[in-house]
Amino acid sequence: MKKFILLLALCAGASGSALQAATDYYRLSWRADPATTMVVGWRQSGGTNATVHYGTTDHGTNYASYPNSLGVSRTTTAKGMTHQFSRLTGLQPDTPYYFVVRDSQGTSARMWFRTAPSTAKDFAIVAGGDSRNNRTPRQNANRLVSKLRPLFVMFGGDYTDKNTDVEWNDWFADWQLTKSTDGRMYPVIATRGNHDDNLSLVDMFDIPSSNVYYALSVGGSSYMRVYTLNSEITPGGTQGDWLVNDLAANAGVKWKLAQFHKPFFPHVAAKAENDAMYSAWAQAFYDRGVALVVDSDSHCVKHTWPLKPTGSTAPASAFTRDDARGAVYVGEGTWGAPLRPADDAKSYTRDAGSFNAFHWIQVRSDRLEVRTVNVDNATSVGTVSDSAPFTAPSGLNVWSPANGSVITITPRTTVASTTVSFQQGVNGYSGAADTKIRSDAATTNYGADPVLEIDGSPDYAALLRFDLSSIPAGKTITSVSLSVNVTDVSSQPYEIYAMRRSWSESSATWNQASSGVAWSTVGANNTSTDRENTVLGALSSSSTGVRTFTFNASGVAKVQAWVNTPSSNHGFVIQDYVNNTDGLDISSKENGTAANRPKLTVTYQ
Amino acid sequence: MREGGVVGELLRWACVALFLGRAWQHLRWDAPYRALLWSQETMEGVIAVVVGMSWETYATSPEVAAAIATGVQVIGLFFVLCAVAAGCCSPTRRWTHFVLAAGALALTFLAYVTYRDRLYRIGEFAEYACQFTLPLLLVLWTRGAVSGALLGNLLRVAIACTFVGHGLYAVGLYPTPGDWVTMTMGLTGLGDAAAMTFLRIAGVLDFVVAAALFVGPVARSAALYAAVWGLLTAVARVAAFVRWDSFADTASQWVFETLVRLPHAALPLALFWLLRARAASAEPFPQVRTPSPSEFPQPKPIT
Repeated sequence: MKKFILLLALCAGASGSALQAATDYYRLSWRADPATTMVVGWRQSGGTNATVHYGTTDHGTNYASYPNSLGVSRTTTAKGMTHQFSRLTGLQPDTPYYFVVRDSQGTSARMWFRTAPSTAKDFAIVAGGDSRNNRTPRQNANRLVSKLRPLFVMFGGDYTDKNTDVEWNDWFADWQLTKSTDGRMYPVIATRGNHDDNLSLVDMFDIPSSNVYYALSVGGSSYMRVYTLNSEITPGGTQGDWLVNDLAANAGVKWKLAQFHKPFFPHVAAKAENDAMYSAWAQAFYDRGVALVVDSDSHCVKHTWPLKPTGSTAPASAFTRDDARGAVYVGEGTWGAPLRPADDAKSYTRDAGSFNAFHWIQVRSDRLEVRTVNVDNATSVGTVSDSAPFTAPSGLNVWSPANGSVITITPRTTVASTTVSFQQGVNGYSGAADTKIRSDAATTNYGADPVLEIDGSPDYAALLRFDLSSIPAGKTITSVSLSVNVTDVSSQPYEIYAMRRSWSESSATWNQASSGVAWSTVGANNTSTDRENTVLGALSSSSTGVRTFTFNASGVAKVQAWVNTPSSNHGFVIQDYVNNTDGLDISSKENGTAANRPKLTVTYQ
Repeated sequence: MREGGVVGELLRWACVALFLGRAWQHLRWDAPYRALLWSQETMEGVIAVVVGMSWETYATSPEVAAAIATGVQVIGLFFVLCAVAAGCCSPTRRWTHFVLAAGALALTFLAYVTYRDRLYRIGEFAEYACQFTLPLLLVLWTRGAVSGALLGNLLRVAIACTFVGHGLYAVGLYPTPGDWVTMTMGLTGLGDAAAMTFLRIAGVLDFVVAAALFVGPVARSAALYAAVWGLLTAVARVAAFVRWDSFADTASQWVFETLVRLPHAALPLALFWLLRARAASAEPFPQVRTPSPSEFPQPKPIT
């Protein structure tokens, strides 16, 4: 009899474990088009052959009935856990997908998600950040996500306090509270904070960028673009160039949102200012009509008015109000973090406070509405209906400060861009000058030569200048490019540097800038007096013909400076005396065919 | 000025700069004590027992936030006192020794909470070695409690720790701070990829220098390099980030960052001075001795 009972017990244990999958800590994210893809992620603790079974019909936990399945696309190890991801593709837009994760030890509960629409359509977003060391409000905020049922969540970083294994285990356990009672889960667009690191975030959310800055288009290519930036790496440089270029490439998108961790100018007085980020990003946001920016880090709540950057890095005067074009900034990270007083309001602050909260963003075709929600009473809040996603559930505690509980943002009006080109002899333009200087003919002037030779062995450089005085003062330069006719190719990049001193087309040589005025260093190569040391762009070409080279953010800024102060425009030099050995030849303004002459194209607003 | 006097004055004024910088940081800005005080994992039980508050109440209480802010300010005032003590430290002013010893403890605690704040990276704590040992070295030197040889060895260890800690970030074993890359780009005109390469090389040199400090024939050159590099990296904060259009704001935020890093130059320079004296005599530190109380210069107190 005892043996029989023992056998029963063993069978019961075995059958029990067979029912329980070795997967948990589920999460959703996006790497590509949110309308047709979804990344399903989970923790794998034992078990093998994990597979996501999915389809548009709910088959409960009967995994075999789902028409689609996909195994593991990627496995990572981070924070003491094994993470697995199935990257689902080929999904239908704006469609519910039901899924289970099945492995050798069993099947998960049935969950579901909704893909993003592929065209303009109303939906809601939850945005916030800083869930790092006050677990009760973090859990409340997560519960409230499950009740507000957004299309997705923008999370602004600082998930945990010390980025430890234990804390991340707790975080993922708490994240399961975002799952609605009907099993619906919500994709998270993850941002890096100063308590996180790039690598583990990439490995836990399958982020599409190893540097954790990326953009996703929601509602098709012209409805919404969500920018996630990384405040923990340099904001300029590659990241800044990417942002400027991506914003330009998506100029026609109606709604542009951005999220990053650290605010430019925190609303907590003891927090350091981040003016390098402001300098790198704020103007780009304004120029390209970014409507809403969500930041975190300070552990308080703020709303600003729509803001236009002034260019000043003094926090008090960095912005002015511009209701038509400006970006609204909301923050600053109270998804479960100890609170700080919002004691550093600016003249452009709309409202500020200090409580546990996130932002509920309603996206409509004609406006965004932003509400900041106190999450403390999450357990007593009702649930939003998917058929009426903007109807506030019962008991929702929306912050109601002095300037109103709802921030309404209409599509940002962007000033029409004007593009002008400067090319000698075209449309009556005669303001160009160019010449080359050669180390092997140090006293020879080539101002009348039809070819500009650029080389690193022997050292040759090209000097070019364009009169830009026809661009009205006060305009904002948004892009610059140089088109040249390549007659001898080189795959080695030749850099563009702004000149610091004037030079004469008719008398400049390797040795001198103009008649009787020597370069400080031959070849116009003194970075203190002859030329600047910031690379504005680079030229290289593997084929001949007219080629166009885009100036980088520094190049755009330099042309802006020339427009602002025309006397500072001494043109630029193209050279690389250090690294290159293969020369690049281009036509000069003396070329007999006007279309082959160097052309500077400037776009301004 | 005698060699011993030069070393003493280097330690003194570096210590003054350090404490003034830390004082400004605490009085105007903030310090990462919340890395401990807001650690739910560490403090929840303590708070429940000692204060009788739930963690949620504690972490969202304006009164608690205000108390922490006040505590930071009090520590800032204490650092002002430490700066005064460093400025007028002498063998006969024994109160300055106690204040500086307490200041060293406070700096060590600051290094600890910063280490917690920076995700338990031990290199972060090591990087602070020059700072939290400096007040003690000043006191020991002033009291004549250490020989030139011993001081030299203590300096080597402190400098090596600081450079290794810095190097761990620079070579990328810890995430290289965005500010460093931005600073390098701003000062050199390099793009971010080249700036990162520059920092990687500088990081390797940090390790090389840390090791070379203990290698007799090259120790003096290593100390001189460390002094120059320490000065450059300290001054770079101001050079890169202080802007004329927002001078008051940016100077407020960055000048103290330079002040607290001046020991990274002063300590290597002090070591260089000691090694130079040794080289001149061909015996270990024979010409360097602690001045007797009667010989010790009596600086005017800082007012």
